[in-house]
Amino acid sequence: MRALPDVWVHRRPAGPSWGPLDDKSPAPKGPPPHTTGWHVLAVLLRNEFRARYRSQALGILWSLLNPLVQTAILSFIFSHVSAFKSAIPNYPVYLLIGVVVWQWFATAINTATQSFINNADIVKRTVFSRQIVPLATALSYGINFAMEALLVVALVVVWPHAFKLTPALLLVPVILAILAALIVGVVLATSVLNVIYRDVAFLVSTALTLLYWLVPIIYPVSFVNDAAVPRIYITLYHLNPVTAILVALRSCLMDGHAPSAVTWAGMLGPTALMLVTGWAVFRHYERMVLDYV
Amino acid sequence: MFSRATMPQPTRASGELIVRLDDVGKMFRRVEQKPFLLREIMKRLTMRADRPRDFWPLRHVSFDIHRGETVGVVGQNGSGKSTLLRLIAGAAYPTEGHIAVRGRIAPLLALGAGFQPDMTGRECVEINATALGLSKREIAARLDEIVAFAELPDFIDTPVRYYSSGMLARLGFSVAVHTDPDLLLVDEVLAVGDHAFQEKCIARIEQLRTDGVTIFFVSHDDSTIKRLCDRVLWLKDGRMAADGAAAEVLAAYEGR
Repeated sequence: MRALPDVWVHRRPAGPSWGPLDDKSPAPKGPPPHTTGWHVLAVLLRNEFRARYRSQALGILWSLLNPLVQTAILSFIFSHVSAFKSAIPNYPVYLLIGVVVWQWFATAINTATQSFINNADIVKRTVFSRQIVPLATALSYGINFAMEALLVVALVVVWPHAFKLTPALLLVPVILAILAALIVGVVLATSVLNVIYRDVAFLVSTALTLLYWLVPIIYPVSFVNDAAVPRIYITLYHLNPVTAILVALRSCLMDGHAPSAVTWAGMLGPTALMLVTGWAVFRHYERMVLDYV
Repeated sequence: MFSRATMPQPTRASGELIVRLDDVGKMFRRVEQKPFLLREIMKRLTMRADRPRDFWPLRHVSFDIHRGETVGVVGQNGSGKSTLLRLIAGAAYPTEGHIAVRGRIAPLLALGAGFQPDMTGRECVEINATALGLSKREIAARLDEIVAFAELPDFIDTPVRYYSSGMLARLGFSVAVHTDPDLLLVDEVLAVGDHAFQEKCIARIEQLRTDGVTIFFVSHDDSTIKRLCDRVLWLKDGRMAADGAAAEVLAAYEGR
């Protein structure tokens, strides 16, 4: 007979805590040891990714086709716009970076917002830290992103003069980590809210369509900087963390210098705020998810 | 049926305390049909719904379970049995009261949580067992045993969408009983599968019982409860109607 751990999982209305049962003094802080289970994240993440490309003959290759086609069409159309040509020297490279980053951001947020509903049975019938569910979905699209990033690497080979291979490249992983954190912050909030108000998924997808044009994916940032609008709008535009991330990535890859302090602030500030807000919203609605999903 | 004072007290197993429920209650907000038409949305927004919408599927439930006990739960549909199991499993939180559970729980609230049609049997076992709290190493060590018990060695690498419902149920049950639990929660899952497999499941539960696993068993099948359980809880409209030796409570329940 196995010896039981001397730990009790207490479930009180006020919140989960654990400690010896007969001890009426406040229970120790922190999650009970066997309900955290971060290894669940790895398994869910891998299976989520595998399940997505299970029944297709070409599997993951389909994930590469979409950004390729999108980049090809857009660069064909906009290479005829002379203003774009003069503002951006290597437009297809500029575009591909934007498209690939956006693909991860938008798909991960759209899908992870639905993650509790898509995984309803496992959420309702087993016990592990619930934040793992949206995280696994959002980060599984990070694997797709890694594949698509190979397209950018391939461009380095065929189009070397578009890139500056300088030490600034070392900052790329840091910027991508910020992007991942931003996605996590958003989906922590939207995934739980969507369980309680199913309208959230539609709201999110509409907001993303709008945001697509509010970040410099297709057009150069100089268009916004030179626009004849009050200064405040331009500042707000640059406070958008997605804008800052795109600007930073392109500056590292294509210009070969580290992002400016303003760009760092535009990435880190809103991302940190989003993470804190997302976590707070998640903690607030976490318990309701189990009853509503 | 019995007042709290005259309830027949079960013979306490001498084992350690595994589960304690102290005046536990669960409240749900009744969800009516969502407003769909614009007119209904306007109505909802302009005048507050004033119907009482609180619903307690379970309230004022208290009991202790010690290691090695096999406890059956009986009650009509809607009496709160499944809610009780979900609360103990941690798949729902109580609105009031206090629940303490100790050790590893294997909740058989439904078989095969996390099975996805496109994944192979092997992957489903991995994800299901992980969600039930097994580590990677434990899963690898038990995989052969799980597959053998489910009688699926030839199909384990087939996507589960090609499985029959019986095959799925066998795989799900097999994972749950191989998680080496301290507390096994069984909710009506033996209704699936053919007679031979049901027998095998019951035999396996009896085996676990002899091994000292504490079992919490919800069923409508009185004969299975009689065979497996030494103590029975009777739930009626979300309250404890009785808690006592299996034969006594079952007799009272049948004569209700």
